[in-house]
Amino acid sequence: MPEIYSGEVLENRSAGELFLLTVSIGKSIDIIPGQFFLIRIDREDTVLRRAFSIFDKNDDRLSFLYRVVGKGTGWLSERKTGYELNIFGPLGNGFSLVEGRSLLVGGGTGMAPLYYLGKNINGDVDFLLGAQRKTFWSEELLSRYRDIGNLELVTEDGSSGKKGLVTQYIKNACYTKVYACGPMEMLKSIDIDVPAEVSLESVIACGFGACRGCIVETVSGEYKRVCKDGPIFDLREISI
Amino acid sequence: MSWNLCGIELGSPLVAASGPLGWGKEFFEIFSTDGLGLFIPKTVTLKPKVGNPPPRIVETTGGLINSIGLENDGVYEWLKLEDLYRSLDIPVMASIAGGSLEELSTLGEIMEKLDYIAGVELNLSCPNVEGENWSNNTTSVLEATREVRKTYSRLLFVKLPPKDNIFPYIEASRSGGADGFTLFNTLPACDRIKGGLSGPAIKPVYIRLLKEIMEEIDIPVMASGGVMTEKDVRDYLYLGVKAVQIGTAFFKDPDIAKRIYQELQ
Repeated sequence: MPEIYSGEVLENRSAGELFLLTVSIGKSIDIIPGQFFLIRIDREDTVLRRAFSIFDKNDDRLSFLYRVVGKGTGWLSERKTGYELNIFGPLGNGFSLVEGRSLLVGGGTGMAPLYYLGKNINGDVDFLLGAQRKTFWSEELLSRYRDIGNLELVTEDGSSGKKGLVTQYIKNACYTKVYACGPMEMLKSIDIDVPAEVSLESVIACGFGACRGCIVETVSGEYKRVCKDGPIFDLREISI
Repeated sequence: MSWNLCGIELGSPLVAASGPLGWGKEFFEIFSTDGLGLFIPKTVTLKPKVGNPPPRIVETTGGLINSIGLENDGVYEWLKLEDLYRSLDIPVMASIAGGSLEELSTLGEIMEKLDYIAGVELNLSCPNVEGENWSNNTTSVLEATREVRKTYSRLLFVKLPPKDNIFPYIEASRSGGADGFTLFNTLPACDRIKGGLSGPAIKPVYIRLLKEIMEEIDIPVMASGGVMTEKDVRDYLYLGVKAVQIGTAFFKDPDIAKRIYQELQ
């Protein structure tokens, strides 16, 4: 059951073009990979919390990987060690884990939920991470992914790894399952035969399925709540 | 502290406004009623409504624009929540809306039979539903209120939109049988999406509109608009309203009612 926690900032530092935030919530809780937390932005000019998928969990410590895109994440990036963040979660359904070899595809900040997912998969893990350029990642961050799986990089400008978009390099090759997170266009262009789960992003208001603000239209024309029915969906639900 | 809303005893002047918390099922699985005096579930219509296409919400400076479009599974699904509403230790007021007088009449008839419902809030002002805005003229406000009053005999509040010169609308609705008013629904606005603006940005506008009304006429009012803090609640109570609704603030703090209630004491 989700709860509101006080999360003391242990570290909040840049990692390439991203920020890595770690907070201590005082107790160890169960979190399914792919679930998210809503962090309150303590500014008077914002009304919505910001949603972040879990990047890592160790005992009572939760980590989030984020990019500064607006005033909410800008405010968050300025929080110093010791600040007490108001954190609500875990929310959403989470990935369903299968045994065997998995491919984990992340576009930009879509890499965030894949680390904790990779850590929890019982089997071989191949990461395929894409970004605009090499400076997006820090070497330290990439080494964490390398520690738990094979890592292949793709950059749009070719400054690191292969050149282009991650979706060009997804191979069907002997995977039991593919997991992906990234922009909607990226997810919709995934073309594979094996079962795939994708993590969707939306502006989230309540976070627990009540307000109907975050809906996404599925291929059948049905509206589903990203925060409650998702954020993890079967790829076939969002793309033909 | 005890508060009285037209004969209904409230343990707190804080009301969970219709909308943000849906029908309450998900919210009350996680949170309690602490701090709340009344719960108003999201507006119920006779038939299910799929609502508007995404995107439905946009955050603005100090506010939130929403265009949900009254998405709900219809009154017959809502009736299945009877056990939940009975189990709450606070009264529940139903919010209803309809596209025709017949629908409103039927909804009133259904609500009349529910002894676990303390009253009805007739939503005549959703800004996000094409062709269903009753509050564009006083005649339809009168007719809609009268239609519900024909079948529903207990406490009837009418939720109106924020607008200048609203007295004729209030008078029309009173003569149609309204006992009180929820003032106001969200403020029509546009920023990437067209919808209703809520949040702290609208509060000064609503305080001004409400002040003029409260100084002029003596009617039971539940204030609604931009409440984020205890001070906001006091500002509205100072105007003489019976209760104060909280909506958007639940997104920032799902346990906001508990906190504000403690601060009020």
